[in-house]
Amino acid sequence: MPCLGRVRAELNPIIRSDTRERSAEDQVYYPAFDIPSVGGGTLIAVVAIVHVFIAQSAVGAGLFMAVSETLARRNGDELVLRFLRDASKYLVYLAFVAGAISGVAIWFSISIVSPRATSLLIHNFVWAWVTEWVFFAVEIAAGYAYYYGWDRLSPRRHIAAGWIYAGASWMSLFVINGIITFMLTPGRWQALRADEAWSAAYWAGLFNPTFWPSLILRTLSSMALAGIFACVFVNLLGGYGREERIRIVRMAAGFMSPLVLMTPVAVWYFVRVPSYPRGLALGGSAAMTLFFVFGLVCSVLIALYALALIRRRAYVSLETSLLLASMAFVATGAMEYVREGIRKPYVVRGYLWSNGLANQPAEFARLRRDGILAHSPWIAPPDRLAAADARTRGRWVFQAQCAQCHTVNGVNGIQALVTGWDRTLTRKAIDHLDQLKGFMPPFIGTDSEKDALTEYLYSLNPGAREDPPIPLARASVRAEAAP
Amino acid sequence: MTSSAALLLAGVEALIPPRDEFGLPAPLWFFHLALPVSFALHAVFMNFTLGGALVVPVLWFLGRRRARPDLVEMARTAMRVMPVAVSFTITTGVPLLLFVQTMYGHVFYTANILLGWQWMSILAFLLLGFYLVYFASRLMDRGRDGPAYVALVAVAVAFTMVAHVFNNNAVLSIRPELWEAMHAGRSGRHAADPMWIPRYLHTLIGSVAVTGLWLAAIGRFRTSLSAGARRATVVVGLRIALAATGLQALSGVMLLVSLDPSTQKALLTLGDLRSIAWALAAIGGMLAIGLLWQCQQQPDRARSVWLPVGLIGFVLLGMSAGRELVRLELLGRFPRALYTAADVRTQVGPIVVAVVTLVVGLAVIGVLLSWFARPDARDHGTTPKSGPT
Repeated sequence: MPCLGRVRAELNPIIRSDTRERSAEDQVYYPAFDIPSVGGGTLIAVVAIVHVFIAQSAVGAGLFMAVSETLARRNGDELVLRFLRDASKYLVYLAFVAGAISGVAIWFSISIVSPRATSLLIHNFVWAWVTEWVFFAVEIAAGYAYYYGWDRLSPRRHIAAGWIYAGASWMSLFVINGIITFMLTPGRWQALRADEAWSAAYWAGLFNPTFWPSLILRTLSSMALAGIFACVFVNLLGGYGREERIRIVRMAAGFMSPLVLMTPVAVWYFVRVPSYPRGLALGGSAAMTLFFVFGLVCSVLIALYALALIRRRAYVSLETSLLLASMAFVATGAMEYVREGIRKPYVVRGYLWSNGLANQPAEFARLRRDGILAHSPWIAPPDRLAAADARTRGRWVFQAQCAQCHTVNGVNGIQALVTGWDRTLTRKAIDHLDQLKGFMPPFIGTDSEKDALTEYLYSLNPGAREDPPIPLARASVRAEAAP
Repeated sequence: MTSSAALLLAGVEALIPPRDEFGLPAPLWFFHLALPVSFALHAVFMNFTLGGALVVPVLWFLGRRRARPDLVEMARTAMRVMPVAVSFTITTGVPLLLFVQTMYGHVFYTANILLGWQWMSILAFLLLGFYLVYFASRLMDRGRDGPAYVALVAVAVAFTMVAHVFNNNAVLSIRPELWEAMHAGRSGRHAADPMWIPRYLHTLIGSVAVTGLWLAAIGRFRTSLSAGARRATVVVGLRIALAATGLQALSGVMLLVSLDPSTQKALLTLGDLRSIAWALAAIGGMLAIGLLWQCQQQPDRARSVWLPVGLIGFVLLGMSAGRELVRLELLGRFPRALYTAADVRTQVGPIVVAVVTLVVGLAVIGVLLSWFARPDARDHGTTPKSGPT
């Protein structure tokens, strides 16, 4: 795109470099990070699920180690102490290395896939993240003290280090849980911000309607993951006889069994969720419902299995414990998928659509007047905008407004979704997108952009090439491109 | 400024996404202060991670090649400290990442997107490097020279790649005029920037200097080493720091020369407030060379370690402030790139909670560290070691 900057400057008279006053007119959307066939959403989902699994395991491990060591020291249980000592090495390998890096990976991936949403979260909750970071730093320090302190700290101090680790890691979850739940149920955040009550808006957003049930769900899940990992480690570590393993497994099962509470707490959670997203998980969307039921059933099955282990003093082999861990991983993924999925069509409910456009009258008006391409110089080079044919313009519109969730022919591919559609149907779907599908944001742009998108989507559909094209509003195309 | 240059800058500015509509949750001065402080804190650990990855293979190689057990022991000891340093590099990087996103998110995210997979590759290199640190340490302890060399070199490659991508990002974040070419597929345009090589060199050499001081401090503090090994570690550490600080002065001049004239002017104008932090740091760096020369001749005195550590810490803080000044100067050419006082929406209550948590958190970390320094006289116990019963 030669001399894009200069051309853009010439085309767009609203650029005012001589003033620092921000204008609502100078909205420029971020460049797009394109991952063909896979999509940015998949990247975020993979990273997030791995991180949640590891991070929640680390939170549970803290509680597991603190409780178990306290009891073991009190009862003189050398077996449990030996096991905790052996397992603490893996806490460091897993939580401090993979957990910390996958946490950074979330920042990296959301910043390139959804920069505007990331910016919104940062500018509203940077103090929550600073607070969370302090707990994380204490968690790391206490974790290392726990790991290196087996021979160097007195038992009293070692137990204290374990409890500090457990407390700090749970508090880290506490804060992050507020930001995660905010995105689905922001509560009175928007209203308070409109009143310029910045601190009150922060607290309302953090302690939002689903904060407490979600915190309990995540705590239960963390405990269960710790129990499952204890079963894996006691089999992997070696050096433990069958009776010894049974004792450790029984202790671990005690941490898995509270998962039976998952169902009533999930009910509480969904009572607090707005009716539309709740409906999606409870039958409104087949995929969401299936994932939700799958996650819930897995959790209950793990809990029942744990109760049976306790009652029968049974032993869990390495294969079974790995199967349990896999089940827990898939269940975690399913529940995170549901949490993300029912938030659609928003990233932050009521404020920011999933395609990165704000649900704000001023932004609507601007985009309906100028078109999205006039504000997307990274996608639609201004010097090529006027000369571009409808299909090219449609592709740009797709990249600017749809590609955050859809690929062309990969994950959530648009090609498969429009197969068999003629131009008229495609155009009507674009006109009434949010009414036809509640989980889709409305299309926001000019009529000529709708025409162009129609043309592009139609071109992806090999079965309907014979229809005559809808006449494009060439005049409006020129009007958008011209100063 | 000529009219064509102004037009070009205006054109570049048209590509910069606007500042966030939610504004800043604290006053501007806070972030201008917090960014250099958090960078300096991060640099303390990051420099040992990066510099250690470069220095340890050399120590290990020389120690093995010349049959110098003191160097071998030094390399082993440094490698045992490294996992904790890497952990704290990541941990202390988080507040820096938070504040950069808050103040410069719109340019930072754009640079991230333009780098794309290169930006994401940091994670792979970091993960690889982190696990290899554990692996290399284990191989060194077991005396498996060949595999240990391979692992150590791999660690060095992984961490220098992380630094390389961060350098690319840092250059792109303050040079929006490079964006258009990057986006057009002419990737690597950031490397054409005059600042690019001196900046990377400054990072690498600085990390070696700080690693030297880490080694000296380890030698002073690590009571598990023999007296001879501790003394040797202090001497070698101080000499590494001395040589690298001398080179760093040269690379610092290169970096200064590579800046555009207006930024140079801002940094070199006497009496300009913006130049003071940088000038103090530069003077501190010069003083550090003399101090290190003195101290490496008297390695048995405690102050021979703590004085240079303190002075280099001060230099690090000053250079971090200088780094921020360069960023402000370069981004200041694009008015929409910088937040103004009108954007501030202070969240008083959340700030108070965060500060109280920080104070309590630091106190808890202090207590944990003190437990390792002073044994508990009241109760002792044993913990069964692992192994078959």
